[in-house]
Amino acid sequence: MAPGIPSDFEQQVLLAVWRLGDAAYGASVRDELEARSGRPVAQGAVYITLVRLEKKGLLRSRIASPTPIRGGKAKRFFEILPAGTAGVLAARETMERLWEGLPEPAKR
Amino acid sequence: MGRASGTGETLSHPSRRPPLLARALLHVRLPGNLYDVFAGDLEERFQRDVGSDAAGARRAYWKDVLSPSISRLVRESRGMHLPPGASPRAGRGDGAVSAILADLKFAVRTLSKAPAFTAVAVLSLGLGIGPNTAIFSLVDAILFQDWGVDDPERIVDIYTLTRAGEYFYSGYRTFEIVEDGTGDVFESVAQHSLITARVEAPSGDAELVLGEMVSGNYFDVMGVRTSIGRTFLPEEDATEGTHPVLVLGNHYWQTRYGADPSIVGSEIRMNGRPYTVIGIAPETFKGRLAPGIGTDFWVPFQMFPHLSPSKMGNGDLTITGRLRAGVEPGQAIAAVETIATREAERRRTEIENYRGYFALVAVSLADVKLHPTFDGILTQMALLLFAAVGLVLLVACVNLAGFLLSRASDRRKEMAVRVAMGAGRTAIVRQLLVESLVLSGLGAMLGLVLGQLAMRAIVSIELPVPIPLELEVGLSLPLLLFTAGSAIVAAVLFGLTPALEATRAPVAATLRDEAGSSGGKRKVGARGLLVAGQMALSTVLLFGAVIFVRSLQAASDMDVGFATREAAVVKIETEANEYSLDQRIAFVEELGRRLESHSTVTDFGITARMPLDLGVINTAFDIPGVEPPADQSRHVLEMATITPGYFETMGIPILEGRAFTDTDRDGSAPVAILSKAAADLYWPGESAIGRTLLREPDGSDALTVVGVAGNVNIWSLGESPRPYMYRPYFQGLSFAAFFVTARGNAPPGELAALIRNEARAIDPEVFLTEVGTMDDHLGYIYFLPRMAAAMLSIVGVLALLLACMGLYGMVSYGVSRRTREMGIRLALGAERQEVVNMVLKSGLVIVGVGAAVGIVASLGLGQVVQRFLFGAGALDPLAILTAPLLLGVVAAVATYLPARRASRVDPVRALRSE
Repeated sequence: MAPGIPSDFEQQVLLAVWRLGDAAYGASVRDELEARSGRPVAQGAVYITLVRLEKKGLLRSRIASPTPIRGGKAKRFFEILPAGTAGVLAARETMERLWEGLPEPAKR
Repeated sequence: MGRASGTGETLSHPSRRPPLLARALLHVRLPGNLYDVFAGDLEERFQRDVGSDAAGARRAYWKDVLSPSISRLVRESRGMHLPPGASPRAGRGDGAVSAILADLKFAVRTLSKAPAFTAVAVLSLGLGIGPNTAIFSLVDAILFQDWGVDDPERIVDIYTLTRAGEYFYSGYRTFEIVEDGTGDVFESVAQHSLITARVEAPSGDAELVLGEMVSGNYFDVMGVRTSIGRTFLPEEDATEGTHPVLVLGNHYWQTRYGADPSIVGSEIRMNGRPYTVIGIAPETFKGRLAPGIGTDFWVPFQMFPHLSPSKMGNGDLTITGRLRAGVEPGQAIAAVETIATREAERRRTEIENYRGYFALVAVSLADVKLHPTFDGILTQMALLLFAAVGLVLLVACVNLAGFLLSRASDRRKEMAVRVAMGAGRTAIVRQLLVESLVLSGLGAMLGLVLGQLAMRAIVSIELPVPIPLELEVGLSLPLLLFTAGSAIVAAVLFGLTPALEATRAPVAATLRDEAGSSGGKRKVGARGLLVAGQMALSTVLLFGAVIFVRSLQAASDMDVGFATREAAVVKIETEANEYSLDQRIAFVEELGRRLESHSTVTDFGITARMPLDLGVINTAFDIPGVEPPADQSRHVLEMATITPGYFETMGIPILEGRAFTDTDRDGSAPVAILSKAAADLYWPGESAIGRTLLREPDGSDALTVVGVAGNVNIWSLGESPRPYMYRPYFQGLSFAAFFVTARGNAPPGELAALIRNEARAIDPEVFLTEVGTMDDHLGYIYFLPRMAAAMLSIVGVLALLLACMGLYGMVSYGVSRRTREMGIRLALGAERQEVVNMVLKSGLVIVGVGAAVGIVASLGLGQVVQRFLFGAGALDPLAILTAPLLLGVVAAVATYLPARRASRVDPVRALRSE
């Protein structure tokens, strides 16, 4: 089984990486998180989480060639691993089990 | 998402890059593998936003760099492996900047791994740089202050040159002569002089303020415009006493009137008469009294009948001209000399029996720092102080060099590994230099803080004279440049040698541990040189501090010819009260009666001049049968007018004849008392009593000498006996400003308060400018030597502290490096004591050589500073021996302790000690 259930913010980062597919790297993950959650996120916080998730084996990364828009600095792309997908799914299931039988809030 | 890529913006524009400092900070904080990608992410967002809101983008970048999440990121990524494809320093493209940033980062990390070393080195440098920044601000504020005038090089001051070559003030007649004779070189000639006046502040309190009485064209000549209102009109200085107008000094306006602009046009009461404020001077112009001394007001010269009736005859004016366009200062200076020669010639031919002296000297204001007479000595004092603090910095630098050298030897293996791994020597030297730059940078910051604290303490010292000090000693660009300069010089000069030294070691031998312990002859040599240098420098500095303190001591113990203790001194100025002569005498007599009625007052006297008060009253006379000096037409003496109790109160002995009595007053025969020096000058070997001094050459006003008094110091401590005359205060010589001195069976402070209260009881309007004890009165004369002694003592103690720190560190380190050698000797059968003695001896030889050099240098220094000293000779044995003895003990302890420790360890372990 996956190594425990990822924390709330870890889940958000995993989902963003999953959604971004092969375009997931530090800046784009941050943009994605901010766009979807509607609140500002520190780049450092995003990066810590990315690095931690990689250490846990939920993500993996590779270094790509530098681009001028980044001041000639390299990009580090992240990619979700099966363990990562399993992690967020497990978290979702847990939440859904907890929600079971409770009234659905009125949807927009 | 996809927004990130390829908008192809130009990145060359500087504002289009994220803030440099933030980038540098990020670079220092993050390890290389993280920095690249992380900074790239931040930069990408920055580039996205900078077009629409540049300031917001920069703010956001800073926020990300300063975010606490960065610290966590550093912690979490520790030991993180690099993903495939990463090459830590490749493709960054920042070139040299990036390399230096990397060095900087590495230096910060290395230094923070050795906190004790870093702290001691930074403290040492801070203590060395601190006094330098303090003295620099002080000298900058006093000697290099801008006068605030327009084109100082177009302004020329004209002084009357005394026989002694001093630049002196001029009389009004001289001003007229200069004004008439220089129309072709000067656009306009102004004159100005110091006055004090009593101003009634809005609160109703009266206070004494300092101002200048100036000719109507003064502000035009200085090229100064008021910040509010206007300057004087020509008609306001045309007729005597008709235009009571004034311009206020900016500082006075701010402090007393809360910078209220509506004060212009309103009236201020000065010496009991309303004056209309017509303007406020700009903040940059503080008048022409002296840099650092603010002028509170300016009034037209023609107001002298009201403010200073004696001004016309005083001869205390400074004359200033502004050059015509195209005229060089040299031409004006020559023109002034020509006028002076012509005038001197005229006097010689027109005045019968003329023996006077007349000479003028002109000097460009751009060449004047404070006053041409004092600039020389002030510059010398400033240089002396700079030399002293410079030596302290040198001691601190030697410390730094010693520390770095020791550290470099400890790190030889590290360096060898790096060289073996292919690091270039330049790279290593650069790295070590950056490290010492970081150290000295931190030291400079600490020094700046310490220096500013010291400056605040210095400026808050109350001057012994009522002068408003307006020194500007805050942080200034020159100060920052100076501090940065000292730090860089310290780092490069004293970091380079250890750095080069460190890279010179043979790599293979070092790695095999063979070049270890004994360190090689060269290195011991460098360290020995440092120890000896340290010793010599500190000896000189401590010598300087000790002779100044001893000199001050000598000055305090000096016999000034009068009793300096337990007396009260109160100065009363009645000029502003506009007393008639009778009223003034009535006031003084009433004060005398009141003081007599107090049982606590045993003696009191009143005098127009106090010894060592820097005032002067001259009197001229003929003596039948005694010729005046060759260059004078009459005899001239300085004098004081006194009441009968004065000699008794001051403890000045009457050597011959009598003191004045109550019967020596208007209507009785005019009498005089001479100082011993005067009596010996005029009638050597004979009695002066009963001799006659002719105040009028025709004998219509003759004085009889009734007494001879002991010599006292009049102008300066320890001066040679000065001819002086005393006259009775009540014989038509009641000056408006006078001193009351009293002695009794109460503390002098209480007596002073008593005099003040009685004076106020007679007339609440009288002005008391000095209320205190004889000690206070003499305070100003001791002020400069006390300040100098205090500063040099601080400097000396600092040097001692630094020298002890450095000496102990270097010596004990050197000894501990010999542990292995000592182990071998012990293993070969040497006695412990023998080994300790050997190390002790070799250490003390170096220290001794340093001390000897220091003593020789001290003797030289003694010759240079002799002129600043009172009494104490520069060959003071205590001063010469203090430092070498103290430091010798420190060095001996620093050698002995580690040597003993090393001699006690098991030889086998000592041999393995590396």
